[in-house]
Amino acid sequence: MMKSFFKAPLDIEILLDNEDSRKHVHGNLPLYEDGESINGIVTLRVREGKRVEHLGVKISVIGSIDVVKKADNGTNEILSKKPLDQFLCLSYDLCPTGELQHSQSYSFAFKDLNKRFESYVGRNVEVNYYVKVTVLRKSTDISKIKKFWVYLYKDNVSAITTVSNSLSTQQQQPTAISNGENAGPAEENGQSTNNHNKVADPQAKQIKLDIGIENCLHIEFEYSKAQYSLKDVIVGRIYFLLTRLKIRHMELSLLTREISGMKPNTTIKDTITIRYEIMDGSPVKGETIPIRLFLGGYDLTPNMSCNYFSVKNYLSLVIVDEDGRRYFKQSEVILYRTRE
Amino acid sequence: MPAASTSTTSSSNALSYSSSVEKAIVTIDQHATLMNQYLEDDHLLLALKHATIMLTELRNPNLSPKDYYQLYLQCFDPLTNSLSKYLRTQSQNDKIDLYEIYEFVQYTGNILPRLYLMIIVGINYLQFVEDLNTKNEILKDLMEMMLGEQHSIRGLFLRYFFIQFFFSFSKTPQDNVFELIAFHPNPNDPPLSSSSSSTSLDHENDDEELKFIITEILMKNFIEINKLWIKIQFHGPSSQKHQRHIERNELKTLVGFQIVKISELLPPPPSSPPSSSKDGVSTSSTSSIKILKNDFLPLYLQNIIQCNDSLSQEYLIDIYIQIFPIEFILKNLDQLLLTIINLSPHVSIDIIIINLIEKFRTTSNIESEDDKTIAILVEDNLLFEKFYNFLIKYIQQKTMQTQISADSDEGNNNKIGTRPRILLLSLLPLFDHIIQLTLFWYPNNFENLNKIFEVMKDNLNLIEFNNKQNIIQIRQLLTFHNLTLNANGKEAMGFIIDSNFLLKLITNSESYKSLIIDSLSNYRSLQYDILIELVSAFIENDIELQLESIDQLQKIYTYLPTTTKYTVSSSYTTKSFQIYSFNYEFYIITSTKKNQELKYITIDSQIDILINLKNWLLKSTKKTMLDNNELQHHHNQHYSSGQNKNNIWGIYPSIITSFWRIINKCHILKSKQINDKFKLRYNQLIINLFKHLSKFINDILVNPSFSSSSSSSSSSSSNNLQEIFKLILRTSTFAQNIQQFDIANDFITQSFIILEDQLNSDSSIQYESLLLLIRTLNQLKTNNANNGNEVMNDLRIRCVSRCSKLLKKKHQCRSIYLCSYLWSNDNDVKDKDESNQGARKYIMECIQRSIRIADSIMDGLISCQLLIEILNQCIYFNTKALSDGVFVIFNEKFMSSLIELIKKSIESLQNDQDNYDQDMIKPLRFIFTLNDQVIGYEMGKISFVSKLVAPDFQSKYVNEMIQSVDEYFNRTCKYIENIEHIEV
Repeated sequence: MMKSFFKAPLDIEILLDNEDSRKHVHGNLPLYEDGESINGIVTLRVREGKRVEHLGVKISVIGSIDVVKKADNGTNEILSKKPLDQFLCLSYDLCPTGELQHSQSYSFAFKDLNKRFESYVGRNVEVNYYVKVTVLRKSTDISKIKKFWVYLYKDNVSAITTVSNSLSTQQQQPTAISNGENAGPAEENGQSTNNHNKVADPQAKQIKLDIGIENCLHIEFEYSKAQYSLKDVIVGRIYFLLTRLKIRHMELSLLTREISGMKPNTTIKDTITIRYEIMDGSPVKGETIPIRLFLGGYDLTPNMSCNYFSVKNYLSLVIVDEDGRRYFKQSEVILYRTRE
Repeated sequence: MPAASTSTTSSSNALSYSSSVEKAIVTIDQHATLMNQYLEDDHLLLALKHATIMLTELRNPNLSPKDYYQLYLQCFDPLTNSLSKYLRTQSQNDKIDLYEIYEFVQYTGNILPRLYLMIIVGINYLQFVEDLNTKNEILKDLMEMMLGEQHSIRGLFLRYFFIQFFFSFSKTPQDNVFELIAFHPNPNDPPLSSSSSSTSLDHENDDEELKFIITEILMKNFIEINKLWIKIQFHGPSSQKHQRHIERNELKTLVGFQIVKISELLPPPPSSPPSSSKDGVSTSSTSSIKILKNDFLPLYLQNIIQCNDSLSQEYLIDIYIQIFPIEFILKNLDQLLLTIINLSPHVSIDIIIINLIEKFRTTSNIESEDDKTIAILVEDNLLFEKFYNFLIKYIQQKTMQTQISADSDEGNNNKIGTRPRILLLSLLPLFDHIIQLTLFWYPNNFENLNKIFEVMKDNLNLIEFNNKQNIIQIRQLLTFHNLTLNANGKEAMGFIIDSNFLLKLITNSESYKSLIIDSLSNYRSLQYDILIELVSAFIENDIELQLESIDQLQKIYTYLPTTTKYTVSSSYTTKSFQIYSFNYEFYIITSTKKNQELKYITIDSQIDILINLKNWLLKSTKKTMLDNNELQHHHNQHYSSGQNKNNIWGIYPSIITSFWRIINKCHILKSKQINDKFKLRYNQLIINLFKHLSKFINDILVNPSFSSSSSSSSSSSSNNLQEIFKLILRTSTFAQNIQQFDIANDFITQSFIILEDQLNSDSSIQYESLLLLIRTLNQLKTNNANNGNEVMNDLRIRCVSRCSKLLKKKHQCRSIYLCSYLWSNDNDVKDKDESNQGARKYIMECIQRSIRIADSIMDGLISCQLLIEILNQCIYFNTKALSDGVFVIFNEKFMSSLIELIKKSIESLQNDQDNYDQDMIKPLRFIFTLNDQVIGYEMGKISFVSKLVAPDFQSKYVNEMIQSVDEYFNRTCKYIENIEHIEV
């Protein structure tokens, strides 16, 4: 007993299919997407000459939402972690009760596994996915988990096909200039190479705002869309109708807001994910300042929402005047993940 | 890549610039070195990171333009040399994808480094893109993104960098553009190696591309750069406005650089043959001209107008003028001028115009032969027409503005005064410059000048005459003062205004005349100043006037009579007279010219003018009198008749002398003529002139001002009368000198009339006048051989009778015995014994009469004195008779009785010591004894002269003479001594 307590009598190894060739993200975790089967092999290695009795070997795939308490000192040290909801838990037995005398491998498969949420590591909340192998024993169970990461690609979803439609044009136009060179993929998609698609598409809703401080500042700004894929480019412009303000600079930030907990005890955590200067100096009346922000280079979180928490993204236009005062306007944008 | 990019952005977000320039320089150096190292090791992303840090130093907002420039230069080299070179070579070897890099650098968190890097990568990328549209998109994208930099200085430098970098790709800017346009993968391929059809196609594309680059890229950049430049002045507190202005001036080359680069897109002047020999280049160059003309220039000028900032407008127009080749400017002059019209009212347009004109001038000096375009333009008066139209439009527009502003300001009167003044400040110099222009290009086209003056005349109401500066300017303008000054000082204008020019101007330009004569009539002092300067220019310049026709002369006349109208105030009278006399002198000059035919004409014209002058003076004096009466009625005595009259009196003698001069001229001419007919003509002329003169004198005498003045103040008027009197006498003498004796007689008669009718107030004046008259008569008698005639005799007798009417006996006596000279005969007396006898009788009579008067004087001293004088006179006549070899007039008996009379009176004087100072008698006695002695010798018929100097005679009387001088001296010394005592 003591032996087994100190050292597990068998090693569990979980190997996912094609794991080496699979893309790894977020701390080297293999990446899966919604509806993708998770197949693999579990190898149970018994120590030389040992026999291990067990009541059965069970494999499960688990997706859970956990509440995390992190130290506020910025080290992100995890103080506590407790599961909030297990939205996914599928399991079956790999083998019945028996005895393991030598190493044995079992292949497993969770076919077309439905994954409701993206993997997420936030300030207060995490969404984790893992495969867990448990060797049931009379005494302590031996278990091993294998984390994996999940991306949800929205362009699969039929509900936002229109968005995806505009997306693919958007994709071949990461910059306004790449027309000639990227002509190829556009043709492949069988879509119009016409750049005006974006404008013509009524579904691609623009964000257009007209804000100001009376007799001081009046600006009009627009972002080409309200929904962006994570590899997208935010294109927009700011039109200065009135500037009495001595502006030092203007920046665009992307704010990720995590709302967790049940009402009324919700906690909101904001994280500035991108800070991007778009204008330097003070413009005169009538000036139009372009906005172009490539999102692809940043590690962003798409919008999520469930009963327990939600992640929202805001674009914040910040104007800093020469006295250091900040004026800002936030507008929500929806970020979603698409395939590359 | 994404991972690396995140690190770059996060780190650059934390970056900030150094606190001081020195630190910044160190930082830049450090990171430039690091960047180079990483580039050598092929770590592009790290190199870019250091480039970003380096460029972050340029974000410092607290730098002066100078410091900023220093930092900029320091960054410029590593960026353009190592980084850009690396990108190019790596891209050529397909090791990196510049397009990716272009996207990558856009993750840079701060906009300024981001934009610098974008420019570097983007422009390098251009070299590897074949598709024209893509190229254009890249450039457009750069242009748009640069809008994010709105800080003036940083933005200026950024855009400057863009241009610098854009054009730095090849040695000549033209090549550069075409290199950018038509990409050739292998740089060794000659650009024109492809087939001819495709070449022409290329050219079309090239043109399109060039047009795009100029309009979409360069011009947009320029517009923004200009905006930023203008914006500087709004930075910071208003107290530092001056500082901002200085900063702007420091930074203006950054703006200008752009225009310089654009101008370099123009083909080099045709003087360089190798480039023009290739037809490809030449077509492309002509097309570049076309594009610059059609696409660049309108945009450029429009932007100049729109920016509405005077410093900017001034500089941009100036740089355009300075930098663009002259042909280009000339061909597009209309547009330029139209722009200048629409500039902000604070821009000093005259400076622009003079620069423009100066540029034309200097270029034409340098390449006068090569340049056909200039010649073509200058031909047909085109250049002038353009400027002329400009002037008219400009004035029209300004007047309209003024009216509008006046209308709008009716409610609040704040700005009414300011607008027109702004206009005027530039208007006068403008006229000046355009005049200079036409003088330079079309020195013989007076029609141009005529037009200019016409405009000036029409717009004279715009000029404020209250301003002294303006007045001076107008004067200098109209007298071409600037031009002459320039010609003397530097070789500024390169031509000399001589009197011939003025002459031609006067004769050819109607509007010039009407401008001066009619339009300036409200500003008399100015008008006169101008006229005087004009005329004196004729006189002072020794250059021969080349009068070509009578017509010219007549035109000059037209400048003159008009002046007669303006004689209200006394100062103007003098001035206008000055003009006249100057004009007169001008005629003198013209008449002395060698041209015989003209000489004949000019004499006539001289006469004409003189008569004009005379008439004018008479008229004016009448008029002044009227005016003055009115004035006197109204309020003050300031313009009293006395003052005015003095002016007239100051003027008329010179008219008279002018008459003399002209008559003399006629006389000389007459004597030179061989042809009798001409002689007769001149003679007639002389006689006519004298008639005029005489009439003039009469007119003066009857002039109301004269009569009124004589009544108002008797002393001054009699002085004036005496003046006239003297002048008449001199005229008479003058007439004698030129052998016009009848006329001389006439004048003397005239003088008598004055003497008798008007000079009857003051005895001493009368006396003096009579003495003069006698002298003149005597001269006349001497000159005129035919002295025995009736008129002469009448005059003599009249003279004597006039003498006897003098108030004081002393004067009567003296004048009468002097009259005796009138009959004394210098010439061949012997021939005419009879008349001689008559003369003797008159002499005798005169002497006797004077003795009687002298004797009747109560004052013994004076009586004695007079007697001695008479004795002296007698001696003179006797001595003369002796030397002439005729009988003495006064025989021994007469003489001795006279001597006796004197002796007696001296004795009685000596006895009457109570009444007469003996010292006074002494010299009398001395003189008498001297006379007595002479008489003694005379009796012995010994030569008067030899005895006068005889030694014994000397010793005897000279001693006495010296003695009396000594006494006088002692007396004076005593007197001085006494005075000293009193003072002490």
